[in-house]
Amino acid sequence: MKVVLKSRTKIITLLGVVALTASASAAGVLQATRGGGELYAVQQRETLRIGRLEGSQDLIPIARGVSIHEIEPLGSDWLATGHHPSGDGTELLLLVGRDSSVERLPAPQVEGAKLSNQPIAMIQDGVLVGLVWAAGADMRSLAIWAAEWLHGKWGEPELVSPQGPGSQVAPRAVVLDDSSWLVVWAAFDGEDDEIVWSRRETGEWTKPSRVAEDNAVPDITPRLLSIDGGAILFWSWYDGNDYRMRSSRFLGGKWTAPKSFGEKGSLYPSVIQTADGGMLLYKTVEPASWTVLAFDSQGAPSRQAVVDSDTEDRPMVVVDAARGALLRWQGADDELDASTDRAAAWQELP
Amino acid sequence: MKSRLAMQLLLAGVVLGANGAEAQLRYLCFGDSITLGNYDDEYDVGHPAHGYPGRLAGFENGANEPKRLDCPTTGCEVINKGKSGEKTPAGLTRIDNVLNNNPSDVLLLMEGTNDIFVEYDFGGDIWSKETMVFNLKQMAKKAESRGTDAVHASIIWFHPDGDHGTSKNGEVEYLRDEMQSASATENRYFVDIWNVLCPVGLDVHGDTQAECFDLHYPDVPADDDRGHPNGSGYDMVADEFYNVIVFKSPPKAPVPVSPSGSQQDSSPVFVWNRETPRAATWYQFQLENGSGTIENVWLKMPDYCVSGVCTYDPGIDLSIGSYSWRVRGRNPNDKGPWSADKSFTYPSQVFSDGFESGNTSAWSASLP
Repeated sequence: MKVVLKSRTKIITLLGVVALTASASAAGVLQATRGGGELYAVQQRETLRIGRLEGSQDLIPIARGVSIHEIEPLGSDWLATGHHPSGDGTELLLLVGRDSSVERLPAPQVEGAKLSNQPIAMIQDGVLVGLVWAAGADMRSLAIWAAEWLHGKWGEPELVSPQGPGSQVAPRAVVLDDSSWLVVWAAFDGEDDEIVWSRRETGEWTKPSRVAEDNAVPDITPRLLSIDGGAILFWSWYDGNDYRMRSSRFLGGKWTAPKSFGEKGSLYPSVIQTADGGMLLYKTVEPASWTVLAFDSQGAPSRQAVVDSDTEDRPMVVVDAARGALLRWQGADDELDASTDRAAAWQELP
Repeated sequence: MKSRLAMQLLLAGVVLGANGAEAQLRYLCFGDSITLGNYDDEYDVGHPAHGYPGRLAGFENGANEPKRLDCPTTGCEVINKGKSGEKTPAGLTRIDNVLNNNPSDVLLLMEGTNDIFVEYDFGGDIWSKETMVFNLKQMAKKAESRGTDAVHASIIWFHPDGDHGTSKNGEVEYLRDEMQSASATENRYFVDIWNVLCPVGLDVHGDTQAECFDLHYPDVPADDDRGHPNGSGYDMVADEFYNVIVFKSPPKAPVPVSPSGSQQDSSPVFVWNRETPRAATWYQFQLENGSGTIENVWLKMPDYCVSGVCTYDPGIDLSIGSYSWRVRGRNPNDKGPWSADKSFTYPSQVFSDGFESGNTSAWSASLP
């Protein structure tokens, strides 16, 4: 597919990558968690399109096989994390964009790990302080690892959770107010996936534990966000007939009892930190829609907007003072622009 | 639970011919864009032969095209409920309304490609393969709870020129192995598309894997995801579904065990051994006496059978008399033959002259 360069779009060259030949392969928009979600990325096969709402877009050629997992602002710069093929496995990829250049950071490595993927940046006060990722021989035997970024170098990889009885996937992490690190992920316990967590205090990781009571159904796709005094976690769990959303708050070193909500088939949560709290975006299968749930700095839900849509592709959230919550998808040419906007008025929650 | 299919056939008085096993059956195809038929370069959307479901039904043009189920002649129906981009967690909800609105005899279930395609890539989420297996098994259970037989299928390979190259085909193979194992455990048919389109080594046409990819995947620019078959690829998918659901044998006759002979219990539990090889997904049980049929039900195999032995308690209170019972199995292919009749009398007779109507509790059947 031919790349359409808009007037405010510029191509940034990344040394050592192939020629720019974009393609349509994105499954959704990657919207930054931090900075109000102003920063976003859309990945195509050999192009990474990075933009800011109402701002310019950068087109960055990337090598085939590169996969971008997350993008976050670092002050006025940005950090994209992902992985790239290496031999018959994968290695972590960290790209920092500043001004008109893209720099590739060194990435931590676990010795002997064939696969390294799903990297999550640990960011404190707009500064990179560490990384959490999964690594192992195959997708069913991944362990969870972390490393500290200090003085421009990675510390030794720290084992958060060794290989378990099955898959360990989807790590998410935040730096808490006390500078400790909180990590959650989905781990197969021999029967089903559970959401588990570990916390790093003074360089030591706590033993991984379940967030909620043990059950016999999948708990998947955790998403984590800071709130006053702790963090709030959202995930999907199977209620016996459908997946629904669940939330739990991490306060005072403990998780609150999970609350279930959402319509049938509530899936694919993502979160955005805002000045007064945050927003949760998730899809529901029935009715076919995407829901934006706003919550305050304590993690209490305050209002929601529901946009009818049958697509599984994740949109980005644009808050419009006049129109409410806007959801914006990729257009037919993979451009992300206002022509795809669908708006929904906020409904105040009791 | 009675089988709706069996009841339909009984009520309609249908006599099955040589190719009549599939007559009037409804097949529900559920999955993603591969079920829907995207990239079918032979039959457009809307053409009755579109995708593998249309080919399975036998709607292809031309006198020499394979007829497979030949629904235009036999009256069967193949319903396409594929949905582009769908992943298994969403399918697990969508399938409820699909099953409710399209009552069917057989569910053909092939989903999971999108789960693997976008996991932790291109903005996609990731969940474990264990969860994928759970989701697919739950979909099958939802079908079976409605009296619909479920058939699992493996998903197809990613083309090596696609977005992920061959990096995710290991995950496809793992899911295939797990679903094959789960199908055996749950006693469901398994359609191994992975081993047909395009296997390591030679395919059914004698083509190498590379040749198979060239022939049976779309010849489109390199920027395509290369995750769908083309028209001839859909032919192969349809063939494999057809081979499994039609050409496999119906189950052989099971073997009744008890009650037999004399029966003391007025509420007997019926026991029979499963056929060899075990192939029935449902059993029909019939109990008769001289006056006619007392019990005639279809029983879902996993609910009544463990390790080759089935037990059924009809919860009846027998009156004095002679009885005969029999069982037979069925699967998505067809019903099998009836077992031999097993006869018994109630209550057991101490004396041959029939002097058993008084209080016999103090009598012994043995002579002093």
